[in-house]
Amino acid sequence: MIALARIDERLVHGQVLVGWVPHLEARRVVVADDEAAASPLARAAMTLALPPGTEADVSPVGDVDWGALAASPQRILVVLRSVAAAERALAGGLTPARTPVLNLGNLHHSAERRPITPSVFLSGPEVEGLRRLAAAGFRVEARAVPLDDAVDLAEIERRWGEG
Amino acid sequence: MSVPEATLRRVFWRCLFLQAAWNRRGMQNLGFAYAIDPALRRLYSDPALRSAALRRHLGAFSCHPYTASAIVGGAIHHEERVAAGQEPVAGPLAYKQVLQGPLAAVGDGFFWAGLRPFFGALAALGTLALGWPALVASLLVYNVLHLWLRWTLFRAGYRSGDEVLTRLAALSLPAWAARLRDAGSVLCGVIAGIGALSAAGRIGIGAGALLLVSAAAGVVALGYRARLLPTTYAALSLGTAVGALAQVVRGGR
Amino acid sequence: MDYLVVAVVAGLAAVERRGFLQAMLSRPVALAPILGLALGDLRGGLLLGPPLELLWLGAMNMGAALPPNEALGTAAIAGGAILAGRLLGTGVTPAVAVLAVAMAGALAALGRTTDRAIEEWNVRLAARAEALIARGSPNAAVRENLVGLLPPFLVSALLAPAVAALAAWVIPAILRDLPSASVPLGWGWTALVGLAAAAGARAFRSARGIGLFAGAAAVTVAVGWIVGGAR
Repeated sequence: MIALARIDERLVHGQVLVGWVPHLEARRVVVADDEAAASPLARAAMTLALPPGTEADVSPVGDVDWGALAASPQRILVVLRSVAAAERALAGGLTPARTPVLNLGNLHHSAERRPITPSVFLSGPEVEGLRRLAAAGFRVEARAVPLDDAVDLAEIERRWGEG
Repeated sequence: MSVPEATLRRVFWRCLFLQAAWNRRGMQNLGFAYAIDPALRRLYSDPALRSAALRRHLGAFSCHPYTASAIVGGAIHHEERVAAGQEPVAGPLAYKQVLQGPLAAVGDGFFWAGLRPFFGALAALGTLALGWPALVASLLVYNVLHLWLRWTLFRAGYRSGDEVLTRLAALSLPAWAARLRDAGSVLCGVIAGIGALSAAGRIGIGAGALLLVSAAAGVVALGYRARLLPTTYAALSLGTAVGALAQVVRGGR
Repeated sequence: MDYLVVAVVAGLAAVERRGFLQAMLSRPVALAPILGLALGDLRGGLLLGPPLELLWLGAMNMGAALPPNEALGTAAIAGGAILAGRLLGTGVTPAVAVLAVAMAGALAALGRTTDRAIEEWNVRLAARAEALIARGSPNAAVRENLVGLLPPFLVSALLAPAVAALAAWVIPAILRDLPSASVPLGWGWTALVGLAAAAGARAFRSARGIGLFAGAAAVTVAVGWIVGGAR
């Protein structure tokens, strides 16, 4: 089963492996990212930090068989790089029925983006994208690590409006 | 050309200040630029080129403060190649981009969630059982080990660039982290046991039992994600209430 | 003078904790005894360090995720307890320690908020560095990094002695007016040590950790009992 889908520009890092993997009791991390899948250095790096008993695979967003992941007996954490990638994954079969929560981890500052939480900055089109994902049935939340408070979409929109 | 040894040592010293200006937008960007600057100054004698290099290292960056030294070393490795015209200017940046997350995961997983809490628990147990010399010894061992690893990672990054991953994989830090976490849990149990024995000796068997009950309740409550601070106040006040009760019962006898 | 010592030690600990070095010197297990040494009560610092270390063993900073500021909490607790113990003439007793944790422990949570504010403030340092490079002063630009050491120093150097002073004022008053509270508070300390051990075990997040924790505690008590009984 897919325990959580997370959007994080940093892909696999400490918050994911030290925070979420033990919290979700996940045994497998699926990184669905075209750029990382194309880089041997990135693929080697992703597996470097895995705790014993945890696997990881890196593949392009379009190549992931979401149905098989959802049917798997393992608890799986899915990591995507961007809101756009999440929309592509949704089109490819990563549906709310297969994983209800869409978590926002780290999206860094850039000129078009406004601050939402200490680790999440969003642009206008990204907020639009999140609205579409929520309309499709995902519960969207911004939360870096499990112990943080979750910020829901209504609050994300409010903060974006203020920012 | 390559960066002289003395400059490398200077960069390593500056790596210790990586998080000095941790900021919400660029995170460790300023720290990274500060650390790598002595090397850039050596590689780019033309001020315009040095400024351009500095500016590209001011891009957002975040890693674990220990393992980041491997990336600083590796970025110098790539900058040497850029300066020699063997690689495009985007090379060092791509290297930083790809490695920052995974190396943060290695550092957070091994150092922050394994080695440091293990030595924290060891130092605590040493202090309780043997006094300050054990505390000093624990901290000394931790720091010799951690600074050696920081330096080794920096050198490995500098010498081998991308190959630093192979070197890092050979250390199998995640497996060591798992062992340290098991060992650390045992240390905490020993501390609870020693604490209970000492409370039983100082105050009475009831106080020793209270300590163990509090430990058990704490494990359960924190397992259900109770917040630390409220749980602490609950333990303090409940423990004091039990103590008051014990006093009344004894006084009444 | 004592509060100046608390201020400087707390400020340096704040710097060591994140901005420079990270050699565990700002961890409670080291910081409480260091402050004890600086204030002339090493024994008091050594009493406080281990439980506070275990209580905050899981306090780790992962990227943008911030933990409570255990160094600030420890500096205020240890400073308050040691100065209160000196005023009472008893040194740091378990009762003094419990009251200090109760009064100053929450400062760790406030420290997380000030850490956030500092991260926001530091954005201007990076911006200033960019501007300085554009103006052709790269040396000055990178030196902006060191300016970032100042805010954490100042925040901790202000907050820790202020809360320690409050604790050093209130704790002796409580224990002088209610001397009979000392014994129950001693039990409260015992409960805190138990919770701290539990928090330490939880911080290791090991699948087998809780079993190992319980087993080690049971074996230690059993061995202590047998050895003690034989004596």
